Amino acid sequence: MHIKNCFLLFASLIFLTPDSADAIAYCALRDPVRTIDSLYPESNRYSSIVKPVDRKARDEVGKKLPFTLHFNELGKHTVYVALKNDKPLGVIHVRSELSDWGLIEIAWALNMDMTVKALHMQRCRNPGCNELPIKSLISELSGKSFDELLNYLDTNTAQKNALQLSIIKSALKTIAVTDIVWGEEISKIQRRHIVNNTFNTNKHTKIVPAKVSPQSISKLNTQFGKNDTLIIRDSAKIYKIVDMQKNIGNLVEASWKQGKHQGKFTWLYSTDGTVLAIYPKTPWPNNDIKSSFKELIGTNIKNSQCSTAAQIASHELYLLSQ
Amino acid sequence: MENLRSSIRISLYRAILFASLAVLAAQNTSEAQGSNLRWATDLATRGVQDLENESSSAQHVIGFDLHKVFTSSSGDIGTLILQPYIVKLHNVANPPFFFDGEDQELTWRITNFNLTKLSKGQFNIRLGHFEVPFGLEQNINTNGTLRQLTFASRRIKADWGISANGSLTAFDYEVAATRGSGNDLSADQDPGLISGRIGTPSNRNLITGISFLQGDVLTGNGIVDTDQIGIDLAYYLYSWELLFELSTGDRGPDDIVNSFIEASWYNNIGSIHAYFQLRNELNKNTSTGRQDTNSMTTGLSWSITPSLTLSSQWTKELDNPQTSQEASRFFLQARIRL
Repeated sequence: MHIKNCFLLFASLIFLTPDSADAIAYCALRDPVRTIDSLYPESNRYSSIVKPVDRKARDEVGKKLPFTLHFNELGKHTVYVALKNDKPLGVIHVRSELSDWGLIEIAWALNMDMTVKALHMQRCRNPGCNELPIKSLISELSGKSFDELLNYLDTNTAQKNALQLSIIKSALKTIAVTDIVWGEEISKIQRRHIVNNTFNTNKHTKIVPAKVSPQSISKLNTQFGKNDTLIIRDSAKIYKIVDMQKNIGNLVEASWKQGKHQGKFTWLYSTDGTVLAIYPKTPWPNNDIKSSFKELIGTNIKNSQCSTAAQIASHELYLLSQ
Repeated sequence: MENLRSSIRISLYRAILFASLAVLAAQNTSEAQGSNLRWATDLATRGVQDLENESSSAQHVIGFDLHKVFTSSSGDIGTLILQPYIVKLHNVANPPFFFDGEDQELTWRITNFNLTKLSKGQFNIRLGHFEVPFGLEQNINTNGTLRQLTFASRRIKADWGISANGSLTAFDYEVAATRGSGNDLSADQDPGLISGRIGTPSNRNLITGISFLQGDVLTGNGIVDTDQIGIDLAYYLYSWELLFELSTGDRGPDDIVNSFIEASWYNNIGSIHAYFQLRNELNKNTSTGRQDTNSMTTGLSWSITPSLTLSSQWTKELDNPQTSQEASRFFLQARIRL
């Protein structure tokens, strides 16, 4: 009778078994403490973010890449944000990748603009991991963005062996899934640092999400027309910086696009319209574009002209944040 | 009366199952809000066939596995692991002593809080029920699996207490002061144990460690004065894993040397694991004379899905001077994590 009951219980549970369950008992989980320390030696703490990687995330990765996550990769995973006090230095994402000789564990260190900082072969049973071609590949990948990695994969597929290709694909999947699943949580840490770094904050300082007001939309339409210029208006996320119930500044995150260039950034304004800070969330396409935006820091939007694309963007974002 | 108890028991299991599914659903909602929580229901059923005596026994387990990282704007504070498991035995000849003659017991498999904020994971303080840091068991998780390594020779796997632990550039370490009573925190006797292991980083392909254990361990036969030191080694190459542990010291009146070796193979996605173990215990007790006990174990584990694992294992005593008949047992286990 017991055997029959057990069989029925297990048979029914097999049908209930989710594809995102964790096979490993949680007592076996270990933080990659040594890896965080070696990739970010200047860090003095780290912050864990646990999130589920589900079928939806898998599908989204598949839209960005010609390959996607294996179903075995679904489940709850942790990324670690290396911190120097409250300053986020980068993200550590440990991924398991399939190789001919078992799973290899790669700890990826990403900069806050989602470029590759470095990687550490945390666990690799293949002695080939210590050989020169892999070491030179690791240094080649350093500093590359998602688009650059995709281009690198396209142009180098024929010259690379299976292990090297697995590492390049791992980099692409890591950046894609980090952005899709952990992007908002990482942005939250980044926002807190930007605000702390700019204002004299205290425990009462809050970053409060706000909606774009109809008046702002109306002003934007009047000044710049209904169509997006450089800023993709629908992507804008507005936050009010509130200290002791007083608004001390506004923060805007938005995507931008101009010709073949695009990206995401975060702007911080004072309440009187001065640009206090601009942080890229994706790498600047080139130094000219970077300079054109960075030189706006310290200028007051009410006194500046709208002669350059950067100045137009600055005005648009300011209006959106009001 | 028996029917009433049976009904209560079945109701209890159902309540736990439904509660766990409800919490699981709630967890999936809270996860989106950044709760840093993992949570699973763990069910296993295990059958054991004694091939010499032609008898069989079974063990059913249902439990929760909770993992929560507490973090603040200034970084991680610590990690809570909570694993309450109800274990139900059927016809088990020598159940663990903490069952107190009953066939059902609530156990706290691994349940502790590890304070990690002190020094970026390099110096942590753990409080609760955790694996006694000694030998291969420190790095390889065998909780709830048929495959076991060397804890049986020390008569204790996990214990209640406090430890200092961490990962430094060149080595991992854990030093613990524990109750010595294993699962049974409330034991009225007064054992006590200190133990520790220091080893090379656990992510390398060659891992070595040295361990010590000293104090009193509570067993089914009362308190056993134990004093052991050990060395361990793990080596990984391609799909192969080789484990070795050697320990020596006193266990009660016995002067013993334990050796253990295991060779195992994984398929490339790690879902199939086949292993072969040899154990030897050399007892140099002068009053009973020198005694050698040897056994071999071979097993196979197959994770059909990430949630469902089937395992089998055969253990054979090669010689046992304390009995006239060498035991031979076959184990079969199904385990599901939801």
